[in-house]
Amino acid sequence: MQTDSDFIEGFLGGNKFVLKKIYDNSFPSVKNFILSRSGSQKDAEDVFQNALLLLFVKLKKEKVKIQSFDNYLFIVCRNLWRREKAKNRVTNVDNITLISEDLDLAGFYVEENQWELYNEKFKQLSEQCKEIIKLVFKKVPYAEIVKQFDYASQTVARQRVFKCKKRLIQLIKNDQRYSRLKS
Amino acid sequence: MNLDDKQMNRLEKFLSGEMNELETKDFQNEINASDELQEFVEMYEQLDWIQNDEHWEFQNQGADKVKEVAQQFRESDSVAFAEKIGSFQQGYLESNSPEKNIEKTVGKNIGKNIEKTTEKTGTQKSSWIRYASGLSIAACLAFVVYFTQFMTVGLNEIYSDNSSWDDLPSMTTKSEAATGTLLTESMKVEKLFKENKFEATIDLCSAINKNAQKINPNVLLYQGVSQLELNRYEDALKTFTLLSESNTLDFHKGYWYQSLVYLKQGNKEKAIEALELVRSKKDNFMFEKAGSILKELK
Repeated sequence: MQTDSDFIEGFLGGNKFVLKKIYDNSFPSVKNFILSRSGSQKDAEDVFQNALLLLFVKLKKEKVKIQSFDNYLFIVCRNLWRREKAKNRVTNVDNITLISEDLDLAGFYVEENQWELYNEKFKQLSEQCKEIIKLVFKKVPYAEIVKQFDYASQTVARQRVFKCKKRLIQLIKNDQRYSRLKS
Repeated sequence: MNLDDKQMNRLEKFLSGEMNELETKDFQNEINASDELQEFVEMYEQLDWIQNDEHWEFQNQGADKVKEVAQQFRESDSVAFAEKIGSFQQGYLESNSPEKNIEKTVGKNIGKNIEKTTEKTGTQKSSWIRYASGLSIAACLAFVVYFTQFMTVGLNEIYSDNSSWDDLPSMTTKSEAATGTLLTESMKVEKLFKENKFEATIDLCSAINKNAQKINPNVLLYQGVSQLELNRYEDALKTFTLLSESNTLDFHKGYWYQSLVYLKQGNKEKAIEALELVRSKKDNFMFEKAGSILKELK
């Protein structure tokens, strides 16, 4: 989807044609993603709505430039669902949950910004660092990593992982957004 | 990063599991004493949230930051947008439901379809959208309440001014890394709280209290404040009463936090009672502050 300023204006104004385009293009893939990860149709609807609201606030507040609205929306939905799963939260509609709902979404907003920074910096690492860190994230045994990268020993592999992660932390901390996110 | 090479080398050994038990213990103490080392270790261990589908972790964000963003979600244009999306989605899903398409194709009576879609209506607004609708209603109610009971607004303001939670004690002590877990249960409480995961904070505090042989006042404070954040006033009062009636050194903190519960509830009379308990002894927690609030209230 072309993300031009008219499209964003239309989205922010709740233009029905723009909303229909967004739903036609993105809702099926978000729904499939959530259904394939033990969510329900209702979960997909909730996540999609909350993601759109988050984008509304983000575009209004931060004036961010988005390359592809569809891709961006999908990533926000995916992360919202990851977070829901991680929290193991049960969506219920009693008053207690409703009262804290805006804080919860605001919490995700801050986390999502942090995730975007981490992910952006991760992409700036060398190809080898990215590959090795991906394997560590996937909990691939070090013995396997040694074989794959032809390292002399597991100690060497661990040292390499440390250096790559250290580099990533440096990149994140050197970005001005990091201190703003924390303050 | 201001960590020197020596610290980096030790971090590398520590995080790669290459230290022996004694070295680990020593370095753990060093970590406990340094915010920068702690931050590095936390970040190091949280990095896999970038890609791990099963994991969503993040560094502590300030409660103030979250409150500031929450305000954006409460603004009238956000609430209006949320309602617009809710209605749009409802219509969109109805018009795209297989049932409706079949009805259209065969040109049968759509009455049945209306019944089906009406059943769905109640479930098609996300919890936030329902919340947003609630906000609109709440705004109307607030208008009425303001004129009939305007004092509550003043109490809420006093509550807001005094509920930054910066005075909560730090739980930062680290367990031995040899156990494989860097965070102690108490630290997890603080971490969850700072991440605004109040439900999880309450659950963890309850579990700690259940297994503890004696009352831990700090855990009770985090539990009570989390209950207060979720507006579970009765639960929060029970927790703070447990603290104020305990024989711990911090028992008097219970009075202060009870007063905050009553302030948030808008119960002026009870708030004054609790604040007067704070004022009963000069050494009590928030003695001075309680005095100024009492002046405002009386």
